[in-house]
Amino acid sequence: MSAGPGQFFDAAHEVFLSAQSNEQDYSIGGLVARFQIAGPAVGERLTRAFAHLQLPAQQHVDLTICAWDSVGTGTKMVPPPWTESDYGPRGEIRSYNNERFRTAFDQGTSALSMIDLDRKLALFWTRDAQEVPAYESGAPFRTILNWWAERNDRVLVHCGAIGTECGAAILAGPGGSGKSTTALLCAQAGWNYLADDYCLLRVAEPSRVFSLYNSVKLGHDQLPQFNTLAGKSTAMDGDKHLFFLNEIWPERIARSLSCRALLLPRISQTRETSIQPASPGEALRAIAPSTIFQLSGAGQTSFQRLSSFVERIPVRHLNLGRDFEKIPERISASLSEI
Amino acid sequence: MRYRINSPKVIHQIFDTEVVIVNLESGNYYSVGGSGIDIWRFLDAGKSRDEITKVFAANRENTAKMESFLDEIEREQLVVAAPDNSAAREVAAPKSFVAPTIEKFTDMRDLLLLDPIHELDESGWPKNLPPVSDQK
Repeated sequence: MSAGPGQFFDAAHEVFLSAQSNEQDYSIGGLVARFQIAGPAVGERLTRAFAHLQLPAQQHVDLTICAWDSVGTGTKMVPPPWTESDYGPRGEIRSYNNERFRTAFDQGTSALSMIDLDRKLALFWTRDAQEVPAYESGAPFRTILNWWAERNDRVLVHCGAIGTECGAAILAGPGGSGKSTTALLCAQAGWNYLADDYCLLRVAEPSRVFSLYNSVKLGHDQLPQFNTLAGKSTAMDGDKHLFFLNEIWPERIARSLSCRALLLPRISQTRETSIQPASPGEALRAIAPSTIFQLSGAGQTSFQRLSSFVERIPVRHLNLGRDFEKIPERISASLSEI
Repeated sequence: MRYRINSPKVIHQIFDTEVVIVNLESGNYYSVGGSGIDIWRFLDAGKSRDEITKVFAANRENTAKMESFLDEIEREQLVVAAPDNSAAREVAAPKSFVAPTIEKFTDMRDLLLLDPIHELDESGWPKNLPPVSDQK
């Protein structure tokens, strides 16, 4: 290897600076992130999910993400100084991750993510943003935001979140457990919506959940439950429709709420929805592995923060019944009892 | 024989009713119950296999269950051999013995890139996975 992480970062940053960019500030996890975007498709495909978090230009910025693609900007990316054997199981580049720098290549998105934590500066590069898959449009910059969150006493978590005046219910579980359906049913009933798949959590008391993306994904077979969304899907991710709720129910999107309970949804065969106690261990198994294995660089720190979180927050199983309309009512009753 | 928890590859959290263990390298995670919680606590404190056996050796059946549990966590590489001279911390003795249990979960393995990257474009970056829109 010829260049270390610092040299490679600077060389890649130079490529970004050679392109014309525009910038927009956002409130991410209660802090300020500035996105510098180069390439029309990058802006179009990677910022829509953050539209509800836009801020006017800020004096102080906690993170700057420079995002660009080669096709849209006509720039040529510097070649990687590492080899095939340096790619780790979650895309992390061996020898390019240390206290200061984090580096990962996501093969599904075909995108490089890199951060200099000391300079609070991150790079996101892909060859052609037109080819960025829909799931990335729904949840952009996850890897970078995860690294940055870890440094800022937060944790990027694979979970949904909805809320009322009582606070937020965090929804944790594997794909297919009913997180998105529950979140959307509650949003449809007029609740505050924060997330269906990923959000930021500040574990330290008072714990708080922050919305990251206003997107939601829904299976084709679930659409009949949500008439108000008919025809509003913006893209398909496999057999799932992608919606940006900020463009549909802007008044229902919340930026953050205090954490009230952690619910573990699962599909039941009963008509009625029921709620029953769950243990911290069950909660940790529902929330930690899918968080850790989906996000490059997540490990001990995320695990410790989530362990601390599940020990302090009330945890319940949410047994989702077939009578979908009653689900928000049942959750609401449970939240007010906790 | 003395063991140590196979960190940093293995991370864990001990609760009153369960130990949750994650193997970051394999993608597997585990739920340990019964006296497995106490055994894990002892291992975390640096106690040797002999020391742990003595604590639970009330009868032959207990010993067999405990030995089987220790073999399994070693097989899963959750613990590895440690130098026999390492110092152990004191741990409160358990009140009773309940057969140790271990449940293994493998549903996260698909999220790991188990196939190495072997196709690069002319500039050295990995080639796109076709079709991009179906990947996740």
